[in-house]
Amino acid sequence: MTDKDPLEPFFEAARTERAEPNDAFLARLAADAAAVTAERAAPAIRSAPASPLRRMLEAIGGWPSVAGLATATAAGIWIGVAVPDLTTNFVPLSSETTAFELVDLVPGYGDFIAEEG
Amino acid sequence: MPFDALSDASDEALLVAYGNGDNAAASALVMRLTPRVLGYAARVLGDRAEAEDVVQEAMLRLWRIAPDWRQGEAKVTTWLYRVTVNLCTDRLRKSGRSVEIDAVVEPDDGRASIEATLIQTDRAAALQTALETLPERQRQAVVLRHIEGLSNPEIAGIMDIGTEAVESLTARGKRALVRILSDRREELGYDYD
Repeated sequence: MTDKDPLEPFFEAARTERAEPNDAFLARLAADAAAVTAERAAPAIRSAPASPLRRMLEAIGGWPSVAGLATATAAGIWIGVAVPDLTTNFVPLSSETTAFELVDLVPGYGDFIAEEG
Repeated sequence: MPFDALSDASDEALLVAYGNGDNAAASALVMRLTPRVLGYAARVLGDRAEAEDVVQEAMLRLWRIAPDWRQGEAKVTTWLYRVTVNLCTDRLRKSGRSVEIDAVVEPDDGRASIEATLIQTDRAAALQTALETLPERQRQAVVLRHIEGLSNPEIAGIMDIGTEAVESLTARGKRALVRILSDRREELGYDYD
């Protein structure tokens, strides 16, 4: 770029006639920046890391499912300790022709039914 | 960041501060960077409203990458110019205003009276008309080099080409501008040797 560059007066004119941003446009850009900051902050609040207990509860369906889980656990312990006839006198349904007495279907209650007679 | 610190801080430091939630740093960047890229976009697109759209989009992208900005890897101005250049290219291509290489035509002959006073506005307008006939890459390189005043290596980084390619683009662009404007040299007030 020298003094003899025939284009220099044109470039100089273009530099002087540069499009300047007005206040409204600058305010719009600053508002965009603030909006992006707000966007960034919002998901951070929503996605605060959950505790391992909470994540586990959510995975199995929340607190209501814990009640069912506790009942099933208690029942399992009871079956393990008491070993009722129900668990030992299992009768396989091997044939459609097999006839069953009530005592066969509910063997644990056989004695009770006999007594009631 | 305090106001005094804002004016002294580098673009990169301001962007990092903004990425950490400092909106005042973003306002400082807006004041500092917008005039540069708006001037460029308006000159290349030849339309103020379109240039504002492009600059708003480019700045929006800057805000979004701010949290991931790594100081020292790139200059904010180079990054912003690059995005602006690409957005302008997209606009020119979509609107069919981009000119194929070597398909330079003479400018519209909407010439003012030869006796008209040779004022700066006329020259800027004549240059604009001539620029709009250049192939888009030449136009972008000439505007970045001779109006925005960037160095060839900076332009190479912005346009993602080599320095020699920048020199070639600006040289060809200037030759075309001289050819186009030479027809109007009396009217616009300059002489060749």
